[in-house]
Amino acid sequence: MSTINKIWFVLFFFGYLVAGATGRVEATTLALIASMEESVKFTLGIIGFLAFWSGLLRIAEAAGLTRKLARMLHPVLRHLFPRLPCDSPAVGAITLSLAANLLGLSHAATPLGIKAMQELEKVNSIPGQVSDEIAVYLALILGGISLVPSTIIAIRAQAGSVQPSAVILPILITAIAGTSVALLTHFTIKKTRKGE
Amino acid sequence: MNALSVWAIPLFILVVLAYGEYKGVKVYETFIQGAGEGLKTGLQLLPYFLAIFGALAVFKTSGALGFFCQITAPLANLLRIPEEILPLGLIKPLSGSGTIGLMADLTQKHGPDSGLGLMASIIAGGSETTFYVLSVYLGAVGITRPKHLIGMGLLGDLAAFFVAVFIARWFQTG
Repeated sequence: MSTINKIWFVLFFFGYLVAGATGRVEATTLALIASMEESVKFTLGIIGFLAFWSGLLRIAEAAGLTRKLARMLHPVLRHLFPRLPCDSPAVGAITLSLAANLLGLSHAATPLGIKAMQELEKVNSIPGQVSDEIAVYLALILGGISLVPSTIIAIRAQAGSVQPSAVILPILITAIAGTSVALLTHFTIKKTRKGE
Repeated sequence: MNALSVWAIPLFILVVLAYGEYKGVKVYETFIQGAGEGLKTGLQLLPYFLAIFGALAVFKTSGALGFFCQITAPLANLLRIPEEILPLGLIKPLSGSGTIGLMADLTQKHGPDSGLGLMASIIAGGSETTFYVLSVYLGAVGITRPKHLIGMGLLGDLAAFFVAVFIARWFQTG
């Protein structure tokens, strides 16, 4: 990612430029040094929650909960991918990857997602181009719908929240709204292209 | 809304444990294994936080962030959102670790249960990192032209951002 490289560079460069202009060089360096200790404390602060959650998710995986959830998603997803046969490997890979995302299995979600992309590319009528199915699948992934946003909860708890999990439902609603808009955008563009 | 959120974690734990028990999973041993791996993944986050918190500390303490917020304040006012929240909306599609770092910073400074803290939490959790996901997923199958997918992702991000701001406001007063 080159964008993040540039942003990171600009934050330091522009930051110290302003610090020089306003005479805050010393204070800025002190804050930078303090941030190093903060980073370690912060990581240690959220790592317990993340490790616990990861242990729980391992049980979910071992019990086959991902597959179970994938089966439950199947009827809904069929309508989003009308051209794919119900029992095709592509649909299987898509449901599994979305189930992993829904459960928050971040380490499993990316490989499963890449597998889904490969299956979608196999049935792509123009390989190397974005197909309808790829666009719909990526709209669902980009929406980021997840049942328990564990990292956010861990950070809130670490910052001393009295109700760290209060944001679960708001985040779910937000993600569903974002996903819907992405899907709507795709279908609108598809329609106007056909009309041309 | 709150009761559902409060029950989400215990419900998730109980369902997973019960289903694991039902399927004959050795729940305790499996948990230990997964937690051990989670610990490693958690520690691997440290370099990201060092990079983000360091850059943020420099940008903030120098006064550059204040300067930036002053420039963008008219836009924030126009959109009726707090000035401090705009940078989060801008970094959200670009960098996952940047988003988490900024969100952590905002929740610590303003309090995680304040209006701003809630808003930052909901924005940070409410969508995926568009540019990262597109580059990884399309790159995996060698598609180089994303066509309308960037626009699609960014519109989704924009919608999620405003829904998050709206819910956070409603949540706080309601």
